[in-house]
Amino acid sequence: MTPVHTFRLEPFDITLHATEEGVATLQSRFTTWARTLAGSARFVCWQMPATLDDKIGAVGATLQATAEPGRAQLLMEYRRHYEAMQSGAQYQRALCGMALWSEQNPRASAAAMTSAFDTGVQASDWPPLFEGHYRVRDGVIPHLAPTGRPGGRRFWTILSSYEFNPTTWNFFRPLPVLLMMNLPLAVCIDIPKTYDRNAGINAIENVIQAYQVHLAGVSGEDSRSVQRIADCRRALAEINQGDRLHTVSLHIAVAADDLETLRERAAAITAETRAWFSLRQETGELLARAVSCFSARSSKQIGLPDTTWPVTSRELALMLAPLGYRKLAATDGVLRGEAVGAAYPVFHNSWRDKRATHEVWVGSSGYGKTFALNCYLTREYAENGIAFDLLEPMGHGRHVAEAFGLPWFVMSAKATCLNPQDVMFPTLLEQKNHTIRIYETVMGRALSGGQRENLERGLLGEALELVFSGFSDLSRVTPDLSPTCDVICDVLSGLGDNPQTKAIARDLAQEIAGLCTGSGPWAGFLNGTTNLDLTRAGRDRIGPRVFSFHDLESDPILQALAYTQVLSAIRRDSLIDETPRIIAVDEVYRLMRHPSLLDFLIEAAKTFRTRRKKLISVDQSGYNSSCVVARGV
Amino acid sequence: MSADFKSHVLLRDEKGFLGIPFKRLILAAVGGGLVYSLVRFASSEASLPLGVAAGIALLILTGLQGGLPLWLRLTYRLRGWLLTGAAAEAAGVFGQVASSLNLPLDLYRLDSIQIFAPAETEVIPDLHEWMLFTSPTEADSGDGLAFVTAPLEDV
Repeated sequence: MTPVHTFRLEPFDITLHATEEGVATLQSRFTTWARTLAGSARFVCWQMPATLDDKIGAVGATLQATAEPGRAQLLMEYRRHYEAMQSGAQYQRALCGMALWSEQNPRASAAAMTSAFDTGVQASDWPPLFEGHYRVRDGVIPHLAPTGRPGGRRFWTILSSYEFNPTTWNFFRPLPVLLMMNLPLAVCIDIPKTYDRNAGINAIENVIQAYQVHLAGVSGEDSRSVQRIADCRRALAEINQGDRLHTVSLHIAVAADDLETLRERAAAITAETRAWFSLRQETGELLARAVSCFSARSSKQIGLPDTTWPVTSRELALMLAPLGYRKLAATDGVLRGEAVGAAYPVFHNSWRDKRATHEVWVGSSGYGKTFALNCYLTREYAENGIAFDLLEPMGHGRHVAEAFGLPWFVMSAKATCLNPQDVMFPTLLEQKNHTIRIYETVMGRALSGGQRENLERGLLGEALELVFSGFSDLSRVTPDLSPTCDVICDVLSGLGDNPQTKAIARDLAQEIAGLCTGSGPWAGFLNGTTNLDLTRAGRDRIGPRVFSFHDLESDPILQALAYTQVLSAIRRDSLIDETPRIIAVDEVYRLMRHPSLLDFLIEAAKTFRTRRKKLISVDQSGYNSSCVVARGV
Repeated sequence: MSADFKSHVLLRDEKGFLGIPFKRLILAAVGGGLVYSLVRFASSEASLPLGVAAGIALLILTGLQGGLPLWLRLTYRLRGWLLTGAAAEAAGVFGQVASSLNLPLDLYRLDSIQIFAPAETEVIPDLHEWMLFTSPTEADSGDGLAFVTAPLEDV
C-alpha cells in the first residue's frame, strides 16, 4: 500500500500576483506541479476562527515591562487599536494542507511544492476538522452533532460535488468566493486518480469513438454529443501539451452553532457555487464517510460513491486557489498594513533570520511611503525595542522624534560641519578610499581613469596617509583630533618628487582648497571639526536617532555628503555589535546620483546585513534601490 | 488567466428519449424483457405486466439525483437506518442485523482522534547502510564505525 505523507502549506496573498501576467505565471507554476502528480493527492483548506489575542497579550506584556513613557504610551494606543480591530471583525485563519500518496521522500515532495507554489511547505500533521466525539444525526439538515459535553463545539455538515458545469474558473472564482463568505468551513479537493498520459489519451479517444458511432446513427440534432466530442478533443490537445488527466471531487464541510444557521449556510454555499459545480448534501452513512475526506485516509478507504470529475492539470491548478487567501496570518512581528480587499491586518516578522533582511520600498510620490516608514519604525521600536536611524530629506522625521523624545539631528549648510577626515573605517586603506570618495563628489569628477587622475589619487592618498601617520590607532582618532581640510590641502601642496607631480599636487590642493576651505562653497560644511555627535561615546547601546536633511535641499552635493557621513558613522557603529537595528534611508536616489557614493552604499548594505542591521531603502524608482540591495546581499 | 471546464470527458451521455439517456432505456428494456421471459415460465398472464413493471422500476431506480442513482441512495438509506438503530442499541435487533450484514458499526460514532489521526510522515533513514571513516585509508581495511542494532558482545 502506498504510504501517505501530509504537508502544511503556508497560504500567501494572491493580491500580490493580481495582474494578468501574475496570475498566468501562478497558474503555470501550479499546472507544472500538477503534471508531476503520479498517485492520489488531496488538498484541504481549513478556515478557522482566529483572534488577535496573542498580539494583544504580547503588546500588553511589553507595556508592563517598559520603563520609557513614550513607548508605554504608544503601546497602550497600539493595544487599544488591536482591541478595536478585533471587536469589529470576525477574523479567520486559513490553513492549507496537501496529502500525497507517494513513495517519494516527503522532504523531496515538500521541496517540490515549495518551489512550485513559492510558499513555505513542510511535512506536518493536519489539524482535525473537529474535536471530541460526534454522531450522525438527521433534523432540519443531516448533520454531525457533538456528543458528551458540547463545550462550544459546533454542528457540521458536508456537501460533495457530483457535477461540474462548463464554466470559466480562475483564481478569484468560484472557490475564493466561498472563503470570502467568512464562514467556518473547510474545502477538500480530492484527487483520487491521475491517469498515466497514454491511459488518459486512450480513455478519451474511446469516448470520442463511441460518440462518433452514436452520431453516425442519429438523424436529428444531438448537441450534447457534439459538444462532448469537442470537449474530449480539447482535453486531448491539453494532454498532448503535457497536462495529465486527473479525477477530482470537491467536498465542503461547513459549521454553525445551531441547525437553522447550518441549513442556511449549506444552502448559501450550494447557491453560490451552482454556476460552477453542483453539490450534494451528504446524509447518513455517506455523511459519516465524507468526514474522512478531511483526514489522511485514502479515497478507497473512505468508500464514497464515485462522483469524481475528470480535469486536466491546468484546470486542477485553479482548484488550488484557496492557497492564495491566507486571511489572518501569524501575528508575530509588527503590523505592516492591511491585506488588499480582505480587511485583514498583515503582520510580518522580518527578524526571524540570523542576518538582517533589507527592504526596498517603492512608490509614486504621495502614495504614503514616508508615512508608512514612520509607522513602521515607531512600531518596531515600541513593540520590539528595535532602535533605528532615520535619514530623511523632508523634515518629517520631527514627528517620530517628538513621539519618543528622540534627538533630532537637522543638517544645515550654515550650522553643521562634517569633517571628511573623521575616522569611519578601521583600516587606513578603507579610510583613505572613503575620504577620496567624498573629495571626488565635491570636485564632481573621478580621480581615476587617466594618467593625471591616477597621479592625483595617489597624491591625495599620500597626503591622507601623512596626516594619519601621527596616530598609532585609528579607532582612537576622535572628531576633535581629526585633521581638517585645510591641513590636507597644506600637506598635499607640498607633495611630489619631481616638478611635474609637484605641480599636479599643488593644482589638486588648490582645487580642493578652492571648494572646501576659505570662502569656498562647501568650506563651512566640510572644513572644521564635526559638530554633530555621531560617535558611540562609550555607550553600550545607541538609541533611535533621526537625521533630517531638509535644510540642505538646495544643494544636492551637500545633501549627498551629509547622507554619506551619517551612514558611514552608522556603519562604523554597526560593526561593534549584532543588536538588531533599522537604518531607513528615505529618497535614496539623492545619494545614488553620485557614482562615487554608490559603491559606498552597496558596501554598507553588505555590512549591515551581516550585523543584523536592516537597511530600508525608500525611493520612487525601484531600479536604484534594488540595485543596492541586490548587490549588497 | 482562467480555464474553461469541460463536460465529463470519460462518460457517455447521449441523447435518448423524453430526456432519458439511451443507456438507461436500454437497461430498462433489457431488464424488463428478462423478467418477462423468466416469469413467462411460471405464469404467462402475469409475465407482461411484471415485465413492464420491472422495466419502469429499472428506469426509475437508475434515475440520478445528486450524482447517485436512486437504487444506491435507497441502499445507503437502508444501511443508514440500520446503523442508526445499531448505534442507539448495539445489542438490539438493528445491531444484530447490522453486524450480520458486516456493516461498519463504529461509523456513526465519530471520534476525532481516530479519524484525524496523523499520517506516518516521519521518514527514519536506515543508518545501518552507512559506515563512518576518519580517514580514507580506513576504508581499505574496513575499520570504520558502523551503526549496530544492539551492543556487540565482548570478544
